Amino acid sequence: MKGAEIVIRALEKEGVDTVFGYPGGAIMPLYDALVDSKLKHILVRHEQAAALAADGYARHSGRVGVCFATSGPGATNLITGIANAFLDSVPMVAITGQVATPFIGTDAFQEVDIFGISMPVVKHSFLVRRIEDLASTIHEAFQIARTGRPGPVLVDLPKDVAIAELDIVAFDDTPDETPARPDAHQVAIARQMIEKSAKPLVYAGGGIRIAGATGELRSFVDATGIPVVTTLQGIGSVPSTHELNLGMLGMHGTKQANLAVQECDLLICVAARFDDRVTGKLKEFAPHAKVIHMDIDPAEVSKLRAADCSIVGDVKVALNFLHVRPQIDEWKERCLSNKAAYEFNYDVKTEHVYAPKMLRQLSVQAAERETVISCDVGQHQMWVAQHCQFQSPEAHLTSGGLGTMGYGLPGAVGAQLANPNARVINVSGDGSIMMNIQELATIKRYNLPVKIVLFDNQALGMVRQWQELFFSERYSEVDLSDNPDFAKVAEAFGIPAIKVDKPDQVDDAIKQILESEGPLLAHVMIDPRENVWPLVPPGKSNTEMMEAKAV
Amino acid sequence: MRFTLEVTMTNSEGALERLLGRLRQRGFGILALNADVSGDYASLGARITVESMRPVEAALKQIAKLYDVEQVKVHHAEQEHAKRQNQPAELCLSL
Ligand SMILES: Cc1ncc(C[n+]2csc(CCOP(=O)(O)OP(=O)(O)O)c2C)c(N)n1
Ligand SMILES: [Mg+2]
Repeated sequence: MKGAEIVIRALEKEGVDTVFGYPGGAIMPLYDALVDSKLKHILVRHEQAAALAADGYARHSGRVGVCFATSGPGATNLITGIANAFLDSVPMVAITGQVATPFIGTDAFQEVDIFGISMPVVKHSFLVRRIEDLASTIHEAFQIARTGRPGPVLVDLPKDVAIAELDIVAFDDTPDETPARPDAHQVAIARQMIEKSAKPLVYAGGGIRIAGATGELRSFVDATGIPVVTTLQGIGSVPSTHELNLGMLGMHGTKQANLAVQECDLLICVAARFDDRVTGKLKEFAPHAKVIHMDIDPAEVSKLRAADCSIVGDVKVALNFLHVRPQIDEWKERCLSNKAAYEFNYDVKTEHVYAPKMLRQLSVQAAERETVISCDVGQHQMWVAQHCQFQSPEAHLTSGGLGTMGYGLPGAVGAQLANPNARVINVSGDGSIMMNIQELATIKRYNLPVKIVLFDNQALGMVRQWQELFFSERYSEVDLSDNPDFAKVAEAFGIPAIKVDKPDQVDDAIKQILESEGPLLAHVMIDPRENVWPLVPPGKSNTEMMEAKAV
Repeated sequence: MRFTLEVTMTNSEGALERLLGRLRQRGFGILALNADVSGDYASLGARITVESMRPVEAALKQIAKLYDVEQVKVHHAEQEHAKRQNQPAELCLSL
């Protein structure tokens, strides 16, 4: 068997059905082997999109996302997507072609040291120099990617190894290690802490989706009656409509969530990591709280905030052992009355389409059928996080750690391929869409029914907002008023488009977005002056929230 | 704070580079380094003295996370904080 065939077979044995990639010289043997395989290869139009689509596929499905790229520029183009997966702990295997082993280190054509370049943004990486190691390396790569705290693994495959022959191939199928069970003593301490607390709060992160612990978290919340705040990645881990869900915390969090954090006496951190967008000024974050920190990754516990009780291991097991009922009626009342008092107001006076309201309406109406929203990065991303309702964390795909503009469209492609029956909507901005707009061709080619809701404020809105607020309105390189006609662009790719300029067109646009069969781009013009509120200024404590100003 | 790490790892491609890169990126400056491959080339032992404002536990946990690393031990070269005196002189993390 040829090296390339071994790789393809090994992928099939891992249960891979879809790979995202782009061919080229050094990876040609793998593309040749693909011809005889059942694997579905999705030809994207930029390698960054291959990695980001693999990310969307993996985030939504929980399976390992796989991408291929050739050596040199193909491999370097993957890097942003790999880093994106690294920072949000997404399981991924990236396979790159490499020049033949004798040429490695000679500055050969399209040789870059992708093994070295990718090192800080992968969970692990392999350069496979011997065909004998190939089958086991692929299995190992998958195991590393999907176990423990997941992450991307790079396998660099030299061309001579890919075309070499091996008579007897031993495929590896050692089972994955199960997640460590949390320490019973720590769990017992946590139980006591919860029982004794007067103002406990659950701070739920992205690890809940990753661990598949949504059910356990909900049971825990229902059993204990403790209010919940979620991170950007934790959105949907408790349904947006759940009574005790106070919404997202942090920089663009809800007032009720941030107030609850600042007042609580016990913070139960479930698979979150005290990111700076969450904590604001770290020293003043949850100042009265003891902390219980649960995570699969010991390096996250007490990294930024010392934990009073650390539970390392499977959060599902830990949560199941913590069903106690503290006496917290007063606290719950306070949280819920804040929630009622600070509800978002959608009745805003404006002649423009009001994006938060449109998103709210869209997500409420979309709820009759499984819907996934894949976001780009900017104001529109925060509006999705604040105003859309989610029933599960897999339904909200957003680049949090890296904040990668251009994630949304390939992310949607990946999710749609992972779940052909779902309705997949990419919410994008006029800046972000241009970062991977070439993927409209992928949507067309595979006739994916992805819907694109493009909020056009003729600006790099989020940067514009910061310049307005923190750089004395000195606007620098944020104007996009010469945007192309996005509807025409979509149509040039063979994708139908609608234009939404006025509020009275919104109802009909939503109907079309939800009901049209194939792909559709809705080009929505919004007021460039509209900002994201509330906002905790960078470096400030979460109590210092800036509130909405009328436009 | 200055301390010495003793790391045992699988001698796989890039293992030492990963170790040094991780320490640098996480804010641990390297003051001294000595590393040897075992006789059978299977494993690699490294002794690294680092200096940082960050706590040693961060270095330990970050190193322990590396896939190649089998064991990491730390020796405190300097006991700057009185609080540290109560701690065992040698923390050991075996995987
Ligand atoms: C690849 C990349 N480059 C730059 C940034 C910095 N950045 C964050 S938000 C933003 C503006 C995004 O503009 P747009 O997509 O139009 O969204 P809006 O904020 O206007 O809704 C920029 C430039 C980024 N996050 N990612
Ligand atoms: Mg914009």
